[in-house]
Amino acid sequence: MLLRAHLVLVVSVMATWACSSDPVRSHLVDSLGGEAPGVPKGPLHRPGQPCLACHGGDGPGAPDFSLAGTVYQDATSLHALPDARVHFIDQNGKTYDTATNCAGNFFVMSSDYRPAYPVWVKVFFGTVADQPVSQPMGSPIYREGSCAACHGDPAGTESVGHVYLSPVPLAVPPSPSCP
Amino acid sequence: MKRTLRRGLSRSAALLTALVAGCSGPKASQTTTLSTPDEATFPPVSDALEVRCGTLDCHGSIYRNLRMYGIYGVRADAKDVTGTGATTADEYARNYVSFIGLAPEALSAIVQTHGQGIEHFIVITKGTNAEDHKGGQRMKKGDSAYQCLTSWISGTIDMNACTDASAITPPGGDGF
Repeated sequence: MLLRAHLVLVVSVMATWACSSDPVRSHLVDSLGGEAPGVPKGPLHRPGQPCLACHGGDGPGAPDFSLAGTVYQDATSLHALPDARVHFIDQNGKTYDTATNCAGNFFVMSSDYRPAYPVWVKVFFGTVADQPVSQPMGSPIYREGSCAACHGDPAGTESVGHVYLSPVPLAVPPSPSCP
Repeated sequence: MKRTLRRGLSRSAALLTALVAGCSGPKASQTTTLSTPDEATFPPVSDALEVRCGTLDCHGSIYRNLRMYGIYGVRADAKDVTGTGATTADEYARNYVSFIGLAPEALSAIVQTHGQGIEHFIVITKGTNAEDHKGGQRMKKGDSAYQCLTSWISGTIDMNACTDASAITPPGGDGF
């Protein structure tokens, strides 16, 4: 009886381990490396990395995000764009807005918004002649919640390059308090 | 005892024959002629597929079958960048090969009968999510993408449907 209970326990542990051990994702997480010096774990860390690699629901990061990424000022530089509004609409018309922090990072908690794909996204920042300046994404998102999964640098045959507001350089001053 | 042995040998022989037959492929000289949809009119069909199936996070990835090249996905030429510049003639040609190579015998039978059984073709069953599809439902029976694709396979492409299906807009339009 005791042996059988042990067996059930061992099998359960092995099954759980087998199901949670995704070598592709583990490799992706490992490839991201350690934290940048002076930047604590939290909302400002790891700009430009695929957030959902860790925050996609299977760990190792918490909390869980449904969508997350980093917005930069322009196409050529890696100057973060703080205080931009990131606007989403899913195929059912459900919308959600969030904002970038001083690192340019934004994230949407899975508990707050779980969109029905496809999802369209637009970045808003400032106004020109009283009209909001915006940059829509060129295609809908169909399943990938990490912007950087498709928007890595450099742009090329398999990547669009980082997310940006303006095709030409901007002069948005960096936040002095941002690590 | 002898009878059991004979029966056992007989079963083994049958199994061996089945294995040999199962492992032997077609002869090198054997050819199969398949019918395929018209390649010349494929680009507008490709446009409709690319925008809803061929993004980098779906079939526009080199890691997925039914690989789709083009502006929204992986580029065929090392000089081209995803998201910039229209899909090229070479990319349309590669997408055509991807498409006809997915289930060639099934597609051939549908083409030969001008569309009979098209609802069972994998691109339709997956695209409509009638068959489990990680990318969910990307077309519905009767919508412009469905009409574009099925009309092309059936032999008379509906260009209006393809034009309509080549753009996909959010609920409420582009000004969301």
